[in-house]
Amino acid sequence: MLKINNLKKSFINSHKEKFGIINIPEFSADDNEQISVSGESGSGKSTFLNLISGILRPDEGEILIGDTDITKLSESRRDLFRSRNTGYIFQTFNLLQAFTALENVMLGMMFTGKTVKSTAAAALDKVGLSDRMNSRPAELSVGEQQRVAIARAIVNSPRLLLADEPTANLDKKNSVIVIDLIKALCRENKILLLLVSHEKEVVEQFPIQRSFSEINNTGVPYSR
Amino acid sequence: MNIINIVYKNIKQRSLSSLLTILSVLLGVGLVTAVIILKKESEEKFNQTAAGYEIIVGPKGSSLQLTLSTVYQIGMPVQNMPLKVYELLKDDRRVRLAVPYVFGDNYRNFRITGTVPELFSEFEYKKGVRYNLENGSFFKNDFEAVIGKEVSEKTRLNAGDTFTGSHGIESYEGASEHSGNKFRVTGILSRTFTPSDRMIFVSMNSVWELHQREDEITGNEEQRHIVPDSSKTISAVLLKLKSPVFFDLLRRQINENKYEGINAQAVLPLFEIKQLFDIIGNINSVILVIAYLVIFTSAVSILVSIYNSMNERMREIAVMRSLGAGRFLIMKIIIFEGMFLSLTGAILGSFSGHIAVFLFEEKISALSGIKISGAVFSMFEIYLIAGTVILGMLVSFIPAVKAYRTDVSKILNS
Repeated sequence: MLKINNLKKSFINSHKEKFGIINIPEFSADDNEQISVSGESGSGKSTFLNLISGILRPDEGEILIGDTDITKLSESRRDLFRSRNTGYIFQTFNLLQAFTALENVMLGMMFTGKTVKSTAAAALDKVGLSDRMNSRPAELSVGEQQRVAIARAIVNSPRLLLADEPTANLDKKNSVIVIDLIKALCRENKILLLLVSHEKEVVEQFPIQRSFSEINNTGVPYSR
Repeated sequence: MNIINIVYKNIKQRSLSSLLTILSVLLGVGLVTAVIILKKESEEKFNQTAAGYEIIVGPKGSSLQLTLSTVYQIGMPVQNMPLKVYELLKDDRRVRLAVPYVFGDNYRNFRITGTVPELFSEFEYKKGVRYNLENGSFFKNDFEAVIGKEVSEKTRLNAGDTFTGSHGIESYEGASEHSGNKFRVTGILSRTFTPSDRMIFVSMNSVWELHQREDEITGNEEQRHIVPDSSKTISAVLLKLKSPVFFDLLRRQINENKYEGINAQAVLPLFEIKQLFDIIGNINSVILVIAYLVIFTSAVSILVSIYNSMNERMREIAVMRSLGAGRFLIMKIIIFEGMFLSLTGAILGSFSGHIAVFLFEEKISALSGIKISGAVFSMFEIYLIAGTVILGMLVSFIPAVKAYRTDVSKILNS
């Protein structure tokens, strides 16, 4: 379902030097798999997810989601593809403060072209927040905020869910709840889950565990 | 959930800043609207009123002063001239109608004007429109008065009521009354929306006799009613000619002192008003420039308001982008915000301009003699609102481009 070949991404640092952050010769994952990727902070895990989501464009290589090589798509097509096929959960929840929980979830649907209130409400129900639909983020606990973010990520029934350190801002109890919830929802909706984290106890909850340093081969900065 | 919802939420989130921005747009547009209404209305109403008066003959002096005092009841009359001027003009075979005016007194600031019954029976204050009575009858005798509609409303005088005039064309503290000389109201004119609504018409003899009585304390009651010819003076004569071809010749004759030896001037009110508006037009232009600058400043305030909010909104923009929002959609949201702020300010400003004119209608009417309405709309206002929205849209491009160029990955990873 997800296949990555010869993926490379470099940035220009403050000294105007080009340095490679991603160099992945090969990576693949099948439908419905739940994979955790562990790695140190700053190792390029988030960049890896941003490339898969199509937010970033690689310097080289291909990223196949199903039959679609997203690196070949124009930016606007990538945006549309992302809205329909990829869910994204962040460390900082990234909810819009002016919007209610329901509106935040509906916002996730807006860019696909069809916003159905009942579907958004059902997504919130799935994460156990049917009674907090009209609450704004500031009125929710951190655990509840992350659950709204999860509802927003799965509301479009994506094929792929990317989770970037989703428990980093949560206490242990909420961390367990959130991971269990994400896994259950992905299993139930047949979504490929790719989670990156530097927390060992989170990574160990997954049947497939990968180390980012093994996937990413940037021992020596490459230059094109 | 749609783009309008997002725009509305963003504006609501920064309600104070948005409110102040809308207020600044409101001020600019309100100012322009008020100036435009006043300019348009005053020019139209002044010209409309002047159109009823073909030629005014009055004593030598300022031609504008003669026009303003005779047609609009503004300022002091020039001087008085002998009644003979009226008699000569009345009998001139080129003249269709001659109506004399004699000013001198007032009743609670409404000018008492001595005239002849032909003013009501033959004079058309607008093409094809003569004075009508709302109730009562036109005056037949001395010390009877026909009053304008506004006089009746403000003084609560009705047919049959009496009043006493005061010295001078405007009332002032300590002004003495013509004691014992009461006017009786015989009729009230229908509203004309001209300065006549603010006038009190009486016979010329009433005005002369009133002053004669005051001047000659001696003598018996019967003698006081006889006004010597030397005291029979008038302030102006309104002329309607049999043909426009006589305009120039008659005017030249009078102005060059070649008309039966009289010393007077003949003016064309429409020409005088045009000259007046040429002068006022310059002042209007200055005010308009200031008003447009206020609008421009308010457009800059839209830019500042949105631009200042960009830093705190970068994460929200990045989140929307991560959810699949395209760069152009984000730009559209920012531009719509600018358009929303400018549109709201412009619409409210337009209404405020009308309300401001409406609130000052009475004051303007009292000062200028013409009735200006705040309820007049023009196409210009549509252009003004559209222009303001376009301006709001243009200035929003700057923060929109910043939003467009947001480095989503960098912000999400920060």
